[in-house]
Amino acid sequence: MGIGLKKAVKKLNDAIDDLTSLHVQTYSGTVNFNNTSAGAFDNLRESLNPSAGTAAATTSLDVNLKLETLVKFDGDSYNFVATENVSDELFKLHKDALDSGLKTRLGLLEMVKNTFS
Amino acid sequence: MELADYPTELNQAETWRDDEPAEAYGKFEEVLSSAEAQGIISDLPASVEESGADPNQPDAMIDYQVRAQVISERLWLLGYIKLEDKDDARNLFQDNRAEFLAAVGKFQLEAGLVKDGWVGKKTWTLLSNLVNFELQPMQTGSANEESQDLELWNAPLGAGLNNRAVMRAAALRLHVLGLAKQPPGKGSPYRRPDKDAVRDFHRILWSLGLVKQLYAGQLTKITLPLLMEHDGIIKRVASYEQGGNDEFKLNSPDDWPEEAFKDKTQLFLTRLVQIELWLLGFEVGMSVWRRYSVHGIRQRPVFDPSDDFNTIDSEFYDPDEKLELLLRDYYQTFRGLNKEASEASAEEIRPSLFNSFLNPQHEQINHSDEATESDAYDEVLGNIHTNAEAEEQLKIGRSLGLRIWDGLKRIWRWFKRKIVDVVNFAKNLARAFYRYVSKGFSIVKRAIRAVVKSVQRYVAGEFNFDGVHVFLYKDFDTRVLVPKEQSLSTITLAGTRLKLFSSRFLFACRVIGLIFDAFTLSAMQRWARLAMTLASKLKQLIPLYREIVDFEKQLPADLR
Repeated sequence: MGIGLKKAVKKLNDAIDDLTSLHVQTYSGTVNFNNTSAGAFDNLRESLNPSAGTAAATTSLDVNLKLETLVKFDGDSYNFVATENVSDELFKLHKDALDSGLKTRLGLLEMVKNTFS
Repeated sequence: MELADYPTELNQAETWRDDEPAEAYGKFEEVLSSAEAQGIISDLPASVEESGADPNQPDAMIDYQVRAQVISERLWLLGYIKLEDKDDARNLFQDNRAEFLAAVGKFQLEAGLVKDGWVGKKTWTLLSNLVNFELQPMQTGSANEESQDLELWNAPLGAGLNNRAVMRAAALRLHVLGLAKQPPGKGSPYRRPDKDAVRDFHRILWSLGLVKQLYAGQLTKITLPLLMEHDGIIKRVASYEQGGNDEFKLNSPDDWPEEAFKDKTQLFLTRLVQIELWLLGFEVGMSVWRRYSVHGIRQRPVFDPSDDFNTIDSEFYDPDEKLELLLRDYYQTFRGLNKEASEASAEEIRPSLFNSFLNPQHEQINHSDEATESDAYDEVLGNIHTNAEAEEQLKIGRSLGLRIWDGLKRIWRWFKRKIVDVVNFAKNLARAFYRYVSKGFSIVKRAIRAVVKSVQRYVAGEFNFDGVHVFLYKDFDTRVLVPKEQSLSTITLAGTRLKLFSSRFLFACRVIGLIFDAFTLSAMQRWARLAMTLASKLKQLIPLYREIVDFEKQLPADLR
């Protein structure tokens, strides 16, 4: 069979430090790619990452944070909703992203609950 | 066949729980691979695309050795392999890979499939349907392929009439039904089914009143399905028993001498009964050509020890009276008749016998309600408790060859009518157990594939749903970016797809976690540990599997 479960679990392990919180942010706005190189989306990804510092040169952003949720599984949570231009669809997409993040966490826990210490 | 070779770690799986997760799951995957390679469990092979393998490489399809024996046997029966001996043909995969691949390729070419030499799901299922008596639903190689109408003998299309593989199968069926002396031919060039055999088949259909028209010597889009769909012909013969009429009354075609006509019809009906008994698990010698007494047509010769054996046509003669004994057993075990009644019923083949195949009735059982699939599962698992019992059933399962893949629908038909003894009859317990183990394995394998693909995507860190970007960061924190002028429907669809993707991941993880836990906690040893884990958790796996498949179907191809 050998379709790579070991490798996949290792990658997951590397991608995870702490699953005790989930942070989802939804932005709306305009993105201009200064070029269309293969790395453009990576730059966009990094541009949205507050810890990465300034936006990469290949991308210019004019985006606004519309919705934000921080769930801490010890009970604390935080929600932010912008006062204008938040459509029902955008709100639903944010909820779906949150739901997706929760399911991903739940999946990880169910799969490795007896091996992750 | 011994089950001696098993990884040492199989017996210490409980210690995996102290390992790093990747190590533990790596060991688990190795055990699954090893079990598949040895035929402990078996799954349909993936397509070439899914496996990424080259069929010409020596280690390709190595996981499918046991299945390869069945593939070879089917190809041999259809005349694609030249070897005289069936056992030599069964070993062709190991003995002569090039010849095996050439036979597969030729079958694919003649069947109208893609000729890649790889026995994927389409090839496997079509090959199975051409040789087996019970039809399997056609399966495609992967979730993004549309189901194809490969029912080549489908009446309205009649496409099978021009398909060489189907015509070979028709020739094989005519041989099995006693109408053609020779099977399709061991590697001989393709030829259409024997015209005389087809003509006789048509005459029998007409004389039994199963078709209204007396067709000539070529199969038609009406008669091809009757030949290929065993259940269909049984239904038609069973319909003879109407209004208390329980004997065969034949119309005799003008151009057919009465004796020859009775002779062929008698053999044809005898063969149908033998096939049904074989599918139910009876040890029927499928090469026996002797006719049995058929009520309304002709009696078989009565055995007289003082007869000079050489003067009797041995094809009419059953010195062992084997079919009679099998029928007695059938009436006693499956119908619940007492000894005398069983002996009396077993003397002749009647239309009611065919009806009983379709509508199982047992004298001692109240059929007012039906058994469920869950009851069948409990009955099978309730009969296997120890290492030795589980391994014994696995061994029997591996040795059954074609029979492991045929007849299970019939077993279920009987079990459903609460005739539970069918499970414990002959080798049926092994057939059912092997099937449950294989089904469990198939689900786990699919779940592993789903997890691996999901992880690749998660690690890449980005989804692009028609311009709506979803980025994943460390610990799966998420940022969603929606372009200002994005259509509302695209935004909604993006959310739905994201949820579907993570739902599939969740259910796939649940499958793996469930099996891993059960496996590492099992007190059993050797292969019994794996087999019992897969079979005993099947009830919980099936609803999870349905969720995975359902989510997968709704996902676009690039996210599956």
